[in-house]
Amino acid sequence: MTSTPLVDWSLLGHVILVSLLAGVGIVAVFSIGLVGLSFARNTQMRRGIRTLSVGLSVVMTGVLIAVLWWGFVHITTKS
Amino acid sequence: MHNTLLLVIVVLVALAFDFTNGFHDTANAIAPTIATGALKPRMAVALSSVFNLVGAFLSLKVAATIASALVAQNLVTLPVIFAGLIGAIAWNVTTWYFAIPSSSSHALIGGVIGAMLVLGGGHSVLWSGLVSKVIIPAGLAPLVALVAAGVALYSARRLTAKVDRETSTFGYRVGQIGSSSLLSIAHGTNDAQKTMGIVTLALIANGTLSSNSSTPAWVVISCAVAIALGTFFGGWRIIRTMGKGFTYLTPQQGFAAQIASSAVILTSSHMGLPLSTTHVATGSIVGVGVATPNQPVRWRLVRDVALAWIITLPAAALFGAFSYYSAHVIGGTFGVMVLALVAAAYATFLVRRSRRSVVNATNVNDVWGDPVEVAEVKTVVAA
Repeated sequence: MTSTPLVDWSLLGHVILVSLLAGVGIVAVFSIGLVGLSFARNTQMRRGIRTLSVGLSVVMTGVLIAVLWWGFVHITTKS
Repeated sequence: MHNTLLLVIVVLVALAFDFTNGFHDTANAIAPTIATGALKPRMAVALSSVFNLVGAFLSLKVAATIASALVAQNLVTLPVIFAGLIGAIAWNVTTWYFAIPSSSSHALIGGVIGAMLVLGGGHSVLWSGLVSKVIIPAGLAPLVALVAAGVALYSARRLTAKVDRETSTFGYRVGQIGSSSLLSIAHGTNDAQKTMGIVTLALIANGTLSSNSSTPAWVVISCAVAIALGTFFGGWRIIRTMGKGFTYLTPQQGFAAQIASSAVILTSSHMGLPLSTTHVATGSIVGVGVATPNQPVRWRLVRDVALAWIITLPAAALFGAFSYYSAHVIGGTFGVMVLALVAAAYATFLVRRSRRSVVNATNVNDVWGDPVEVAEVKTVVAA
């Protein structure tokens, strides 16, 4: 008969890893979106770069919304 | 054995605890948002109360943990639950008075354990569950949050090195509205569940529900509303400590701290681990301070708060044990009612004393400490 470990280290490790990835990832995506916004507002830059920057902001915003929505659905459907 | 009057008292006291949990933990979600000026104080607490309400309906995994993994259910009686709640409320209002951000979760768990120890001795507590599901995760949580917030801030600073200050400040302030909403949801999913678990335990102990029953809908709704109301009243004293006390916060730092906190709390809620939102939120705020070059962190305050965290479980257990023993000595439902009145009188006493040094929406953002020290911090952060 095997004894049950006091701490489920696998579960804890999973929590730690997902927390770190999610926390850092969301901040990074948002920050990249801000970079795009800043470049888009910079009238010194060429039009093409400003257009690309707008696109970058939009894409990052979309990624952020998608990730948050996925997380929301994942949590509520597993409850 | 059915005792409807006693059950009603216990449920009301549980909702009172949930209310104190709301105003005690408001700071966890919105202190950085208020400190950086992203939202006006009253708007921030209103937003947080709405999202706490939403979060309370999302996940019931923590409720299951509280009810079954920490104490022997067959030994739980209504007076035990009552005494545990009184212990938790007493600790909550005491730390609120001293503006110390302490864990409402640990206060509740400690209170119940203290009462159980008086009733049934050491074997009535599932120590392995306490260690594996509460103590170890709680010890790790602020460290994980500190590292996550620090790394998140570092990446944000590197990525936005070329971003103009106006866009950065505006962008992260807008981001903080989202992050504090997310953190409020996270708090709702985590903390309202604990009271739901306690009320469910009370219903099972009274014989109203069978063992292993799921949480009734009216319990979910009443606990969700209680925590939202508590949040709306706002624990300004603790908001000030968390927003201004540990370190100076910029919108970028506030955003990184709140997102890191949300990630840790939501992940752990999803896995069924009852984490302290206070520990996580504090760890994140300290983490962004540590990750900012040359930014002072008030380590003396961090030390004081950490000491409060260490003694929360045993202190609440003592309050709970004393409450149970006192009610038992007086006897029956009358004993419980007397203790409820004593607890209400204690809370009223502290609320009245707190009016000697009022902290509210109008002064919550006032400078903390020596103005010269504050000016130095702002100079370093602006560089």
